[in-house]
Amino acid sequence: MIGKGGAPFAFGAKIIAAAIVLVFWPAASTPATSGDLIQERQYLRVKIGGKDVRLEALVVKRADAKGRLPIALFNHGRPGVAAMGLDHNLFHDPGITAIADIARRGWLVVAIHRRGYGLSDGPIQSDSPCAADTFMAWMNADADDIEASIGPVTRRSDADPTRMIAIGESAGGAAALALGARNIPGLVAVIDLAGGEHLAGCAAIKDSVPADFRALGSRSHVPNLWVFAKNDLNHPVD
Amino acid sequence: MIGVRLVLLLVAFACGAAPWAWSDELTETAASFPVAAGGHEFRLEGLIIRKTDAQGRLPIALITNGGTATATGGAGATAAAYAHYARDLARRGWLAVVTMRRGFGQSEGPKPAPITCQAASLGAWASGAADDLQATIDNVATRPDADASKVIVIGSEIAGVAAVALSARNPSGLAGIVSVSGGLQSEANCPINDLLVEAYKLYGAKNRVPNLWIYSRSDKVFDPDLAERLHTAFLDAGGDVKFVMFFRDGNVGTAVFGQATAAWYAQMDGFLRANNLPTWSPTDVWNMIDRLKIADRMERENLAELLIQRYFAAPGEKAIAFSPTLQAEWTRPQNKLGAEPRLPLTYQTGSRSLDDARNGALASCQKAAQDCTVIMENYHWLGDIR
Repeated sequence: MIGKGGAPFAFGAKIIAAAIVLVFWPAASTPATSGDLIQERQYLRVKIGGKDVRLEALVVKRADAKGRLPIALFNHGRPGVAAMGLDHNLFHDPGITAIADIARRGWLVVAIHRRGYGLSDGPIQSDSPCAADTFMAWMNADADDIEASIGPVTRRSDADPTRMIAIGESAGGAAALALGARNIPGLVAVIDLAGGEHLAGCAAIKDSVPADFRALGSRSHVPNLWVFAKNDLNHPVD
Repeated sequence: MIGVRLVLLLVAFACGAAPWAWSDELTETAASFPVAAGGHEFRLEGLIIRKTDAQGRLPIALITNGGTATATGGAGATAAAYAHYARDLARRGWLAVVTMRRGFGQSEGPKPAPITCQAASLGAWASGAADDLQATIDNVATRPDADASKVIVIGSEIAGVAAVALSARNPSGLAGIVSVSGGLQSEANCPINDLLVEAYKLYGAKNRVPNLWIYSRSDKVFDPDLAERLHTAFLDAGGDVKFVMFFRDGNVGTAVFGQATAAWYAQMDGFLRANNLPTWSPTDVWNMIDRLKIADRMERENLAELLIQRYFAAPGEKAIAFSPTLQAEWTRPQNKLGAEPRLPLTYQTGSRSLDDARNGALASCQKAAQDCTVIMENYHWLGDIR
């Protein structure tokens, strides 16, 4: 029933993150970063819309870090070929360098696979059909997953839940913006790298991006940094 | 056509295990697997399908009869009815095995006792079903073309429960199970959902083998509430499961296994790759696009999207036809827009024979162009196009 009539999935639903267990990854993790960093692959048990969801996550921090670290929630983009989301790998994500660089700056970086990506539960939630509210529905569906991951992350003994940033590229950046508009306690900034959504051949969403961003902006009280490039083909500057 | 196949299979079964080539690329062999139970030995009806030219030992993909909500349902099931799933797995590089559990198809032994309202009854059924699966695996493992260190088990509805129960035994070599619309109802007209949830708690406590569960939000038999309860119980107990609840693609109710096959195949393929198990890969898709000499990024991505969703994951015999004329039209900028980008090629999937697939792909191509050739059969590239 959801997905028909343009009813956005989980839009407006209260998301409760609760009852969290960290499940150790069964296989040994492959180091993708150099020895000055510690990385853990694990599953996060979260609740989204009251339902149990298992998300795959990569947690990276400095090997010499002590005490509680500020948290950087890193959000991957949507691959050019959406059907390849299942093959998305956090270690091979273009963001892995950024993840390492943020960790070196003293952050506890948590990169999740949103639903439908990698070994996280599925299917992909930002999948409503072409309609005027498509992008808002997608951004919120993606933000639901990030918001749900905050619970288990802040319960870590090496995490400081009073200082969190959300950073993301492309669809992940748009999701971070949507998260920022929810004014999550402890979320102090949003960094959006070329953030946006695009859906080829969907004319209905033509005017929705400015309206969506206006709506998010009116609710957000968190400082945002947006970084775009002039030659971005997916999200033209104008 | 189906009738003819069925007869051939039954003849083959009656004549013993004589292998024959079904199409130009697969070999199908009737088999029977002994299983010992209660001091007796029963022979299970089986079917083994593999690529004819595959070298060395192949990983084992076991499919067992399901598609029914009760332990005694599906009385008319035959191994032949599962052959097309087995062929799809064989094309993905597996030694694909169909096994009919005791009392079904041509398999010997009594049908399982109906499930009563007691936990012991459910437990006994699941244990017997898992025994049949294990016996089949042990038997297939002795074949010189079998790699018993990589085994997956696939089932729908009650067969999904059997696969989950087997995964709680963590048998050596079992690398994953796929349960599609997995669930079980009692014949005694009493609700056993609570019993099933308790059983899944026990399975989750023992399970170490990765599970993939696929459900549909519109399923009225094993509804999302039950699926979520099974999921939570299994996870809480420590089980390893990737849970996929279809709400758009594949949201066809209980019949996901048969009616949304491409949708759950796409999930299975991703799960197999993530667990380093064989199937087609995105690299195959990019290679094909390279061979078509398509260089523009947007064109490549659009084409990859459509090929993955509509061809690579699709079931049945399939083929792709190509025409330089069609490609030239497709690459014109004005043809790139539109909600449903056209393809520079035509294809047919889900066919009963490769000839049908070839002819279908060619016929649709020839509606628009004169210079059509078949460039791919199933996952096999036929050669350079220019």
